[in-house]
Amino acid sequence: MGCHPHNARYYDDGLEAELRRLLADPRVAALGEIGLDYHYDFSPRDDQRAAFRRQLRLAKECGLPVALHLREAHDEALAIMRDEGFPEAGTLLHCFNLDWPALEPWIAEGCYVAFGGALTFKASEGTREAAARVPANRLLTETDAPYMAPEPMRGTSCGPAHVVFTAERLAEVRGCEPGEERAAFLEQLMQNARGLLDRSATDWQKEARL
Amino acid sequence: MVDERQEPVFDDALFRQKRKHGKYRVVDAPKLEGPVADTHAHLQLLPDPALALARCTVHGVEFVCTIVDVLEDGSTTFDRLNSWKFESAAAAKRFVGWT
Repeated sequence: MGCHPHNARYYDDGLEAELRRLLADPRVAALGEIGLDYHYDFSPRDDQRAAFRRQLRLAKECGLPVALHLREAHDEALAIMRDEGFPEAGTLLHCFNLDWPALEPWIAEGCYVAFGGALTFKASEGTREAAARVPANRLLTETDAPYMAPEPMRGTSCGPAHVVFTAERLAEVRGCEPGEERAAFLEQLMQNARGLLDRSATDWQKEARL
Repeated sequence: MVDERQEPVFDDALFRQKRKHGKYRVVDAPKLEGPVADTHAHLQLLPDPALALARCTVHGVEFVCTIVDVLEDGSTTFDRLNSWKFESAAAAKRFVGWT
């Protein structure tokens, strides 16, 4: 639950009040997707930065992790995160499709990284190399459905079940053979996901519901 | 006349690859040793969220985190999530022949 950087131009006190109301639902597990998108620039960059900072502060107030959408803005987003401070509840880089040099500083800050359909694309060798280097306890799988269907269904509408193709490719990238080794790897991935996102209501959520 | 660009909603749990002239080819699902998580999906943007969740059940996707945008998405996910879960359970039983 969050305000996407595309919509940052509309982020004001009124929208934040609505966001706070919805965040109080105990089914909400994270604040996101939030961040910076300098590829499309659908909102002015100053608005994107302001909405990003306000939502980072809100996430910390609520005790929730953040799910980040970053496009052509990783360096600036990292500087903002360092300035504001990383939420204790965790930070997740959604749909990571760059290389290890871009990812390394985020991993050094203890962030989780989610790989989606892009990991399976033919031209994503740099992303696969990055995925191979991430500590196992920071790896996640995702789809971004209905977008980014993995190979060999690229170009079709994606559903959450398509994540099994990405998980299979991720295991291969990590050198996990089918059988016990891959079973242990999949178990680790599930532990990562549930540890970060399958959470009980935060104290803030409990108080906000009273 | 059928619009070939419009993807049909298939009432099953198969994966399909798009071919020319509106045709689809069924793709074998990976046979994994354990359940998988989708940590980022936009369920309410899917043509049939309950069917999508039913396919998750069949293919061992045991955890799905869905994304809601405060400006664009309204309350649909909050209002419908429980219904989607019940509807998906019924569809999953149909997919595997339990009903």
